[in-house]
Amino acid sequence: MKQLIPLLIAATCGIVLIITAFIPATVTWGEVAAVWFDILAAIAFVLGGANLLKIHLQRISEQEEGWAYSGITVVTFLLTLIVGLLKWNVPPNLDQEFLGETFVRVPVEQIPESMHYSVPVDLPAELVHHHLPLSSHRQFSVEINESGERITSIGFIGWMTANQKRELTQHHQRLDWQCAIDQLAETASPPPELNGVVRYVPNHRSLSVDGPLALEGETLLRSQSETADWQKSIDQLAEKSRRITQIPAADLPEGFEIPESILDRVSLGTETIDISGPISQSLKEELIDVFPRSRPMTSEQIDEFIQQLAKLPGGLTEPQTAFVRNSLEGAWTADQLIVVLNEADTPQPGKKSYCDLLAEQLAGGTVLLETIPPSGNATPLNEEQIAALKSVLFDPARSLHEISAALSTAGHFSQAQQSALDEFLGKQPTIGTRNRQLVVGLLSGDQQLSPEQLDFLLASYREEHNWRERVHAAMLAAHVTKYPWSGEYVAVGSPFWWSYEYAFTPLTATMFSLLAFFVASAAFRAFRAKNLDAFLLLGTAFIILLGRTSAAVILTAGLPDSLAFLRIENITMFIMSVINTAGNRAIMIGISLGIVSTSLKVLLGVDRSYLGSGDD
Amino acid sequence: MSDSSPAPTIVDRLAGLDRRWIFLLMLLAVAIPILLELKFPETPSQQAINVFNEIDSLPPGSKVLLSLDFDPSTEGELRPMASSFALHCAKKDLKIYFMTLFPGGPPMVQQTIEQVINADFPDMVYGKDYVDLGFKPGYEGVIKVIITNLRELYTTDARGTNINQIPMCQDIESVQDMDLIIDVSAGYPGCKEWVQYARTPYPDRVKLVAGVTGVQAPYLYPYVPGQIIGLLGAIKGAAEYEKLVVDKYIEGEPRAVYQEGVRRMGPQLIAHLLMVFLIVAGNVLMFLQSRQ
Repeated sequence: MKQLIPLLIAATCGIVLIITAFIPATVTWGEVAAVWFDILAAIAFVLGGANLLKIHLQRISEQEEGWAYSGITVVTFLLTLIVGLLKWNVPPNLDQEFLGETFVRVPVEQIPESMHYSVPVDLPAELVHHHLPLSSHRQFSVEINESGERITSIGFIGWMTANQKRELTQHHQRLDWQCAIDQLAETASPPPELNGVVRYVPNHRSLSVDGPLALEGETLLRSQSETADWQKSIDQLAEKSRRITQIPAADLPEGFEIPESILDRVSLGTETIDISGPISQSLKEELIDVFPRSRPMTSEQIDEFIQQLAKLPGGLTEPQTAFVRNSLEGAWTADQLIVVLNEADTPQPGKKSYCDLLAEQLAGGTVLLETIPPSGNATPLNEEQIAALKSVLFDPARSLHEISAALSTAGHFSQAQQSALDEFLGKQPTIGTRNRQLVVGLLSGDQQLSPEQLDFLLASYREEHNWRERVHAAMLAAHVTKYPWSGEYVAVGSPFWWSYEYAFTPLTATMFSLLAFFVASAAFRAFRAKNLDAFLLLGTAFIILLGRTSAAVILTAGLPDSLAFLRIENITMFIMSVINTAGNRAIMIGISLGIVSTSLKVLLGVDRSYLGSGDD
Repeated sequence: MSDSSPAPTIVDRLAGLDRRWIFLLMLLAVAIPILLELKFPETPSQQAINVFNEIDSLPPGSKVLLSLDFDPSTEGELRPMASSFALHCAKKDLKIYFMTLFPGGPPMVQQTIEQVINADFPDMVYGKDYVDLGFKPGYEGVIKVIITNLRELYTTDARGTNINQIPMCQDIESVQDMDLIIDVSAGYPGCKEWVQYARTPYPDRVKLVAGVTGVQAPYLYPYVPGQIIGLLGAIKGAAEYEKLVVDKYIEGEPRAVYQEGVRRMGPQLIAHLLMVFLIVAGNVLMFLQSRQ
């Protein structure tokens, strides 16, 4: 039995793989067999580790010669294993964290009855015979009439998330079902005060709040149920979400002001900046976005900038001057922004709800269009608005944030245009980033900049970078890690990374490099032309050695084209692609025939040597 | 009692030279060109031109599987190839799918991404323009599976993202959907396995170019050009291909990472000349000893 099972596994896998190689219809059999092979190969890694421990611990135990090396092997093996498996000191992967959110565990069973929602429907019962989406199966329920043929109502526990709504509506491609889910989602939605702030996350069985929980929101949540569990959960949510994180107020960016949109979360004290609640990526970006962005420059402003730079020690060469001028002139323009704002005001087509489409269908509609044609006309910026826009743009003393006020005062300015303006400005580099890009271009090739010029160009970027780092550190400090093991085990700075970078890499590279020294020694002592065969071998080695370097081209470059075949690089190519290939093919064909023969013996159980002797 | 054996001649002394002197010579032959930054002109061979043309002829948006099947032991020889392949693919706007069959390979992929993609192509988006599929154990078994069904083994990328949520993976059923496979190979599993289990069963669907270590190159020449369209052998091949990519796609002085191949040819030239000298010297000494 000990030999029979491995024998059967080997024979079955081998025969299946042979069959799949000849019959395309059985290719999936090969995939299954190969996947099992891969699983066994993964297990072999574990067995290999266990075997390594067994052998070396035995050597240590018996104090065989060189047992100290075994000790070092075991210690390093265990250290690497531990730091790798435990992901020691590996920071969590921020992509998988819920930055800015606070969670408290609330199982579905503890969700108050006031948050159990249902809508009456009349749908065929077979619609729920299929498995429902995993994201909703704990919360979604149906009531079926006595005959078991019709669904009379559908229900939902807690608030339905956008993802749950999408998955449920896509579960059946029929309008009556989709309309019912739409109605249920509308019913199972939080009060307007909590919409977009508090949500129930079914996968985590948790209630979550984005940012700090406001008092009004807390009162609303508490009013859902008087049970002790629920009240305790809300206590925790309020307490956790309102923690204060502080950033020292020293060395703030020049002219730092807290953006108006986050004044309810952030306050500037004498010694610290206090931030209420966990910091989301968007809040972080708003805190960072306090540096002026680059803006179009007039030719006089560009000249002045170039003069300032040229006056500093080091000066500017002509190509450098041209580069700076082209870069600054190639920045965004007022006309580009005007086009964006005019396009943003173009009315967009609307989208009908599933219930609208169902109503159309029931009314006899055969061609159902999901979109509603746009209504109204676009209002392009008027002359007065364009003038106001340009006056803000070309006046460095005025902030770009004044643009919307100037446009609103001078004429029609819609919310869509405001969003487009924010998006457009958000894509423009800050002055610090722009100047850094200038530095990269100015230093390309052999060009130089003096330390004074680098300070002039990089000062604001340095300040920006430092501020960004401080805000990022505050974000991490305010965050409660949800998945501590989500980081990559080779994350830069982790112990595993250190051992890989500073032990494994140099050690393995050293082992490989030692070859050069041993081959050199062998070349001197053993490569002797004692007979014709050895002479031919040495001659070939000479040519290949030279042919793999630039020496080949240099040594025989003087040969005329008619004798080009005698150039060393061409002889090398000939040897490799003709003589070497012919020899290797003969060997490979021989080996392949041997493999076929051996494989057949293994598959048929004639050769069992790979199973070992059976003696342990 | 006097010693009757004759005093060793200079030939005998040289023939019995302590090997540590040879080690020292080799050290100097490698170290001096590195310290002096010796560089020599490279003339691309037909093999390097074949590899370059194959990648260069792909239209933007083509899918390229870049399998970096090596680890730090052969990094010195293969890293320049990996960097040049990544640079070439990025310059051509190709979609790059990184993977590795070596357990020690994932950091090689990450370093290539950091040194080339992140450093010079910040606009390339992970998941849209490039993806790291990571390492899977199974040697040639991995190739055997993904050549017909990628998702059978790769349910996530190296970062743990579901493969169906990665935009550039959504229309990939198997490796046969790749427009080209580029393999940077240090041995087993590597180029030979890609030939045997990917290119040979599907000769009309799979195209393969490779960069390999000098030790492997002679064993892979029999597959050129039938199964391997172009083969870069050792640092010489890397330097030739690097020159082709840099000449076409980089204006001015390239960054150091794109000169590694050419830079390493300096020590290689001197070391090879030393080897030739040692072989000649060894044989001359043998001849002189036989005359005595």
